[in-house]
Amino acid sequence: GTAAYTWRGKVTLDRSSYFTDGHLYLSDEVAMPDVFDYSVSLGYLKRGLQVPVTFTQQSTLGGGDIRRQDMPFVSNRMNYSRVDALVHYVLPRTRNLALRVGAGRTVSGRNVGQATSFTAGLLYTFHF
Amino acid sequence: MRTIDVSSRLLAAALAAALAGGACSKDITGLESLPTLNPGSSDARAGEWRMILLSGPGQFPVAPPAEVGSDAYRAEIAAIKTAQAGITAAQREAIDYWSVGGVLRWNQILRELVARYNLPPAPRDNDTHVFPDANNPFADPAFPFANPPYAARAYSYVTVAQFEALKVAWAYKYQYNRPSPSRVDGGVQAMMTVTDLPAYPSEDAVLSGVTTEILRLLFPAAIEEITRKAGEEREAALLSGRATASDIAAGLALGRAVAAVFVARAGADGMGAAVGNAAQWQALAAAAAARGETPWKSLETPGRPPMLPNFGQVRAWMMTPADVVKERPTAPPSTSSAKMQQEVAEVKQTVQDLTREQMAIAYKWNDGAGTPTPPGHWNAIATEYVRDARFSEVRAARAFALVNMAMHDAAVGCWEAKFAYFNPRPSQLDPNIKTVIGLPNFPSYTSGHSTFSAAATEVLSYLFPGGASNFAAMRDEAGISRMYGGIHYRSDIEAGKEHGKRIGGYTVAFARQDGAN
Repeated sequence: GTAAYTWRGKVTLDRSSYFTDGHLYLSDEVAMPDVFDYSVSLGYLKRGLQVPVTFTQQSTLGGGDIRRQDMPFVSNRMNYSRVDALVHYVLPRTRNLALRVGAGRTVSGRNVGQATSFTAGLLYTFHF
Repeated sequence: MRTIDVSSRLLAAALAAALAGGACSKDITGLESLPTLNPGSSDARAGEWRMILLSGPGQFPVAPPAEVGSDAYRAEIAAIKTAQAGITAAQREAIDYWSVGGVLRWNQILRELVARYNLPPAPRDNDTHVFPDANNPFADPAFPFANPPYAARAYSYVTVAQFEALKVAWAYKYQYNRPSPSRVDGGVQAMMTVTDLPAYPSEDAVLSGVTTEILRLLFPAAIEEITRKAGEEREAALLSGRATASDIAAGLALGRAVAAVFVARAGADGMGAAVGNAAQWQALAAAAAARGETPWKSLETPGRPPMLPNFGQVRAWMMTPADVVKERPTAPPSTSSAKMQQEVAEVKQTVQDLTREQMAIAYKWNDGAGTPTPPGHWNAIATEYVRDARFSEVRAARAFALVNMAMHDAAVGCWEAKFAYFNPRPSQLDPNIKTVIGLPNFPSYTSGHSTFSAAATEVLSYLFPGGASNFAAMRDEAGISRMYGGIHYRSDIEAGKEHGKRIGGYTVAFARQDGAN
């Protein structure tokens, strides 16, 4: 597992005011809320087969919501929980070539899309 | 081991620095800091300045106040002293907040309300559109949709009503000449700037009353918050030693009475019919097609009816309906002409070759959904000049009223032209044009930004001649920003600026002889 706390400063916009979180700010500077995120992986490992399942959570510590019919904003509170699974299988009779198939889904969130993703690929490893 | 020890100390130090740096670097720099108002002049003759909608101070009788030596007045003074002895930190904060001047504060509050309500209604599941209902403001969609014409009208009603109410107040102030409480009794602390301006009726209470009643009409769903602000303004006037309870009561009643005249005007100014109906939207397209032109169509999905097609028939402040038609710009190049092809190509090329600077200009003046709109942007610009000029409340109100009348009239004139020609946007004629900013849902010719900006520039340059070149530069930048954004042709911008300049001239002609100079 990993965990990280990201301190964020300010960003400067091209405009002189902005509306977010219920207020009109008469400034071109936006205070960015900090972000905390962590992920935990559990899995199966035997010979050429690895099957990690990862749970990731991101929490933005502050920020406003996207209003209906409005544009998203740089300091929006973007939270999500996501589960990803991957099958990593080293093909028999090769040492270098692995097949990778994965899927992930955002299971809950705030101001983020509920995305489902699939990946498939081949991994070739160079041994020196 | 030793190396690890050093590096972990370094890491701890870096972490501490990041924490400290992170904590203080997030203070954002406000672009509109307002100092305590200390006006250069009290404008003692403002009660004689020419009226716009009202007939004069006599329309609103204000009874004479109690004598300064009377028992009733002494009791009011004693009440202020008691209240000052028990003042809370929150009340002191409210005094600081309002000490910059009610006209400037209400302008900021109004811009926030416009930004909050400037969201287009969501389409229904069956792709039809519904319109906000003033009688059901909390419904979905919320009332109002504070789009640029709605906002231009709102800014003008609030600021013109404030200006007229303050002129009436000034007439009675100097008729009755009752001084500010802290000047009558040394035991009353002056926590705001106290000038020789007579206190009866209280200008703060006039502003609170007139503004609340106009905003109740324009932003009914926000009335609780507005009422709280207005109450805070009156309490600050009393606690700061600037006005007694009877100064405030007379001011509040006067402000409300003046507002009633403006509310009546607003109910009959044509805004109620500005949305139009389906038959009329189709007729507009059919008329353009009959002239041999490609009619405007909504590029939203699902297609949305055009924004306020009858706003061009809403009553203006300084122009008659005949003036509005007379000032309409001549027709744009035909949609089938070589000239139009060339204009479309220019927009396409500009967007394709857009520089970072041009993109910043497009964003700076975008003023789209969720913002105070272009008229609000120009109110923010005016705020800096009004602040630096140290105007009295009544003269500050005059500046905002003049600018906003010109911009309301610009909205009326521009919308009249837009729906007379019903001209398509560049990205309708060439779908390969990728717009940089949101595409407004109404016809192209002429550019609203250019019209608003030119009208505001005319008035502001009259009020603040030293800023004229700055205003003109901002007007030109606002205008060309729409071509950088890929949503207007050059001819929209040029014609809009000329149109706005002529419209602003009507307000300047009034200002030249309203007796304030």
